Amino acid sequence: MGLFGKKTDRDQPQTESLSTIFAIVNATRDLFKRLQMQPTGVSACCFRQPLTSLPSEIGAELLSLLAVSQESSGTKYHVLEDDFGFGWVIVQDSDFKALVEVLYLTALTFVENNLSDRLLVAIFPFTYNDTEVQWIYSFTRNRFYPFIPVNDKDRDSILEFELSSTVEGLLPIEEELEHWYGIWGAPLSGI
Amino acid sequence: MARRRRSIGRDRGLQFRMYFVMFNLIIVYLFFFAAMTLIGIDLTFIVILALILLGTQYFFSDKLVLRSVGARIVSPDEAPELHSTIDRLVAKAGMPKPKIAISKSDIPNAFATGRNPQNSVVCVTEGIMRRLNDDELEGVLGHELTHIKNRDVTVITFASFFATLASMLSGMLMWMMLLGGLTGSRSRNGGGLAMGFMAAYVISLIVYFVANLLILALSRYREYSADRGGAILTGQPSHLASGLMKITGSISRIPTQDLRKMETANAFCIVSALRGESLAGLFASHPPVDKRVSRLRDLSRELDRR
Repeated sequence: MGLFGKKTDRDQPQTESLSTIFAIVNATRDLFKRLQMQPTGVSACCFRQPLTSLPSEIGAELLSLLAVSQESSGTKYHVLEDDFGFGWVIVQDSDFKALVEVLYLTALTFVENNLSDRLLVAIFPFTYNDTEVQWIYSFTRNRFYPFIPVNDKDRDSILEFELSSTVEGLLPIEEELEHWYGIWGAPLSGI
Repeated sequence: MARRRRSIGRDRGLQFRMYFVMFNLIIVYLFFFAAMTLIGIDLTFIVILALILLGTQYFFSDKLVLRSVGARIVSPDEAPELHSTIDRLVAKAGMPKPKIAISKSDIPNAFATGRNPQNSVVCVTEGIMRRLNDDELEGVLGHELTHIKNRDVTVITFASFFATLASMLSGMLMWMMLLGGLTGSRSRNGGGLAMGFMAAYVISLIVYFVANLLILALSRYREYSADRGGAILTGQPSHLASGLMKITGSISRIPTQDLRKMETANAFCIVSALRGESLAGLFASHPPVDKRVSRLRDLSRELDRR
């Protein structure tokens, strides 16, 4: 928790809206109670550019942040670039709250360095019956929406739509369905 | 087996309602004719005009509609999966294979048109192919093929013949009254004639309105009937049901693109307002989706029971 002290006042509006991401932590218990949904233990952040192309001191700051949390709380991490040229930070921890905190701090580092426009989404996969439901958090809209990929280009929109109304009140849901963009093949299989 | 199939293929209540609507339509049209004869309006000219107009529309319906939506006939090489699905379904239904067309639109939609099963086209949009999986698309194609088999274009064209005629007549009468009023021709009989025109005008407007309501009802019954026939054809009502949910209403607003692709390729594209909105208008002649879906669910249970 000590790492929170890093939060500065100059980005107040952005850091404030960024903290909306913690809604997923508060919702975990009810997601389980209502739907038996459980976090898979892996989550990820996606950026509009790979970490390697960031200014070197910011890249170093991010990596040391991830290394520190791996050491202190045992949150494993992994960094990669996908075929679209987008960057990823993947984290793994059975403690879901710790996962969200690490991703929050990662995103905060972008915001504090005036790179918030580089942030795309954070993805929180949950097991739900036999399927995996991904709660996608958009950094541009500060809202969550469900995504259930089916093979490599389809999605189960009907179930997504049903779920979004089931979790009403638990999560700040993106109401403009036009913004529910999927991300197929996100690297969420663990480290 | 064949008899059992037939008994499930028909929905007695639906057929009764369909005949009831057609019966009412005939009554309205007979009333129209009687009233016009009584007033003394000669319909010969306008009947010929309507015949030419609707006849052309009817005869060229396939080509006209395709042109209006910018669709293109595709060969089996261009769309092998679409062709093989339709091959399978027409073989099952025992009907000639229609032509297949694809429209470039991203609005999820499909329709069938043509004056008879030998001259029909089934058209799907690119949007529907992107959104539906193979099963759901097959369900939708089954629905469209049933429209062709039931000759719905013919039924609706015939049903709307006199409604079109009434609307043409009302337009003509309005102009005649306007021109008559302008030239101020007041012969000895002028007052009576104007009254007659006025009455004919009002009656043809009412006939047009009532007939249209009946035609829309008929069209909705034909939709239910095509849902049912299509679902029985594929044997899977639930596929059509989930297809319908995806192509109408909220579900169709959910994008089918990858966010990263959209970010990199489409940063300058702002045309998204068009999507989905016009569907409401298109489906005005269709029953509400939830009703269609619940009927398909009933049918699904009915099929499971045997």
